[in-house]
Amino acid sequence: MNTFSWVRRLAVNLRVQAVLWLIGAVVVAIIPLTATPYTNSQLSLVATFAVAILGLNLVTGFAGQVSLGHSAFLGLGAYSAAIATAAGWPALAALAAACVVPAVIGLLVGLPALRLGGHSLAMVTLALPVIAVPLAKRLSNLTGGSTGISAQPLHAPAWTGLASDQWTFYVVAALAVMMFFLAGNLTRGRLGRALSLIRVNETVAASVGVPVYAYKVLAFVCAALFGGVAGFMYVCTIGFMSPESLNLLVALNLLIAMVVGGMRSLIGSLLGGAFYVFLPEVASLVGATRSGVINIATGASVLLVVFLARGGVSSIVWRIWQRMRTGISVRQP
Amino acid sequence: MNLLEIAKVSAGYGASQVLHQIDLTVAQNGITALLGANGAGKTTTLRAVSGMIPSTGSVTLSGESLKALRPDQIAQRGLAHVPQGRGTLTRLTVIENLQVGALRSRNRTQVAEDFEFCFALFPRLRERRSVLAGNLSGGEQQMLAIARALMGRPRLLVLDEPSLGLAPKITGEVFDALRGLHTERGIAMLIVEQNAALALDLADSAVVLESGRVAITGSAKLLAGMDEVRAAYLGG
Amino acid sequence: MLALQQILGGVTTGAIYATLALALVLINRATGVVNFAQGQLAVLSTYLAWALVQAGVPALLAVAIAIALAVPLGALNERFIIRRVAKEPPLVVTVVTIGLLILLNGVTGFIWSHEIKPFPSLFPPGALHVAGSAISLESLGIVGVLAVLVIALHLLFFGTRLGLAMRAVADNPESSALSGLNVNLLLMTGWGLAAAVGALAGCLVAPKVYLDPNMMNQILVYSLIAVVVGGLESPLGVVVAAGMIGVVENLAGTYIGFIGNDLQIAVPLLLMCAVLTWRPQGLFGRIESTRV
Repeated sequence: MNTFSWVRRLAVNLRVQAVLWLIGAVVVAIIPLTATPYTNSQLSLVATFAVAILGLNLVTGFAGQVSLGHSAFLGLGAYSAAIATAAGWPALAALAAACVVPAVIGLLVGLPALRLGGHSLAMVTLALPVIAVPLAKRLSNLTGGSTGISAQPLHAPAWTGLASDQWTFYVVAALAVMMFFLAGNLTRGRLGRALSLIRVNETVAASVGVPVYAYKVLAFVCAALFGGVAGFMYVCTIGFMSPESLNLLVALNLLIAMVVGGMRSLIGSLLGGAFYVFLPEVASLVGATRSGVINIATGASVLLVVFLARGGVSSIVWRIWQRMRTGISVRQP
Repeated sequence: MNLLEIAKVSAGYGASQVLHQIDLTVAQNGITALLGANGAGKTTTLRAVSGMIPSTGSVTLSGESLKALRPDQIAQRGLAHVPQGRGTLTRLTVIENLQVGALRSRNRTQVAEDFEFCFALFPRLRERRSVLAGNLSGGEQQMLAIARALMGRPRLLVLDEPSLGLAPKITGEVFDALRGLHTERGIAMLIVEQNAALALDLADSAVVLESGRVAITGSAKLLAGMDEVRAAYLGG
Repeated sequence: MLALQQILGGVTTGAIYATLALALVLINRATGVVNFAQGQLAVLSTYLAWALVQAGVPALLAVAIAIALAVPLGALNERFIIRRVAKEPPLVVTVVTIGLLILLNGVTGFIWSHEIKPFPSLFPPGALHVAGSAISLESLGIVGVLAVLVIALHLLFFGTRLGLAMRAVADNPESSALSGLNVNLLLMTGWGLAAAVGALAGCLVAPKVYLDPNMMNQILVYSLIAVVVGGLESPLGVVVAAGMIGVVENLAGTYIGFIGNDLQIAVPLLLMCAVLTWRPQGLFGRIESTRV
């Protein structure tokens, strides 16, 4: 009798799955009340980068359009939110700014850029953070220059009795849930299938009537929008934004985190966010603080994933889940 | 001993198996034609022979097994494969294409002789020798591909659909050249052809494949006279 | 004259971009991929040279050894990492080369820390004075080395059997194998050669910008731009493009107030976008006709 058989029988039961979701929700609701402010902000960051990676997943994971500049959209969203907040706008307006500005830039950049393929697109998107960093430093009247800009859009309402880090976590978590829900809708239906077809074979996609260019631009703009929302979440969590937070290395690390977490997977995006935030944490926890260790771990992780488990950690989790459910090894479809 | 012996070879692409236990020989100095409808497995057979795809069964060249050898290793043992579509090195000139064919040889005099031989066989190539191979016509590319294969002084020339996409006149020139080659140099050949009449005219033995299996095998003259072959492949 | 000084300075930095760009072109011609890790591999080699110098080896010899060592490094990279994913869609290869970039960045930081280190110049100090401007011997040397490199590569590819074989493999690997060429070995050679060229670029630039793990990041971006602007097909075009980029950005930085020193990179980036829009094959590239 398989060791996991009782777990398996439990898992197969749909009602139990619903209960698991409920438990998860309760855990998410309770944790911030007992955890330290630092833990809360770390968890908020996980949600932040999970949303950013989710956006990247839409355009690069699903649609196959390589974007090496995603950090620029995160930065645009963060700066928009910070500048709006500093100018006295309420939080919702700051969020709106964080959505609109990156989306518009995404459209302006995407329209010409997505006519190019493969490596050319990678080059153009790479240019975004490269130019954004010095630009952010230069426009110091707006952005606070190299020293950055402080802003906190969120203030815990008095009636909740919550501390700011707790309130931030709930808001950020709620935003993340909404964005994941949105992403789920975008990717599960016809759009999701069309994007995958574009990734696999554009010519075939075009021949079956998929408006390839339009969908590519749509995916790109959505990614920019997700990045912008993540930027808002970033400012809420950190309360600060500076030019180096949107540089090229951040963009590359986001791409890597997406792959490690799992391309084309919603859970993978969450895992990617966790990877992005917790890898440095774990490194310092085990005392591996020597310079370069984090980069070695990051680089090694993505190479291992590409060679051994192309679908990322989420595919490993999926395989284990399937094994528990059916008792046989099943490959992720 | 036969020059090339294929015994019980099966091969395929991924999940689909195309060849099922086929047997085929090419005699020393012989020319064998491999015929069959589209999808019968002719190209797959050639690819299995030259090591481009994995296969089960045995493939021997002059008794030496070609199992598990890479395509370049098989080429070095004297089997020159001219693939379907010619495989022309389009960004190199005609001369450079030929030089690539002779790269393994250290004997400059022999290589120079071979150049002369090829140019004599295909005068057009001499005329166009500094042209980028990608700018040649289909027929010229076919001649170039054969010439490149010859530069390696092969014992066996394997050709995949040499007449594909060529006008009848050019095709005639190519096959005349092949005939001349066989007479002068005694090079054995395995030719896959859609144009069965041409192939049977050149070859001394023939094999007909059907759905990855050998359907008919025998001397070329015999097959040319058979009603089934005439009906299916020679237009009655 | 300031403008002349700027132009000469631009030519020198352009020469560095050109060297790394040539390594990128070599890789792309061999395997058809853009190797984002090229700069980082160059940094690793430069650190090896530095370590040799610290151990008492004369600078020129140290650099020569480091460049020679880069060849097996590049070859092993192709054999064990790149070859596994070379046939996959661009996204996968891009991710692998980026992963490699970050991994190597970590390795160099781990072994040698992020402390910047001085690196000896391969050229004597001093300068020539021409038309009121000073050209340092080092700048002359760098441009000279680039010129020699371009000529040497041309001789290799068009005058030797190895070069012919490498071009054949770059053109059609399957067909080349049928002609008896050991494609795998030739690919490894191509990557080894590219790594050596990259190492040369690293050792040339290190004296000016000081050695640290992130030394080549900015240069990599410029070199990628040069490759796009010049055209992947044309090594000479890439060199010219790199020179142009060096000069134009210097001039723009000096004379266009808004741009200044920090936004200099905007100019080549805009140039790149313009080229991609109106002449995607690069200024000197040829349109690749799709083989049917």
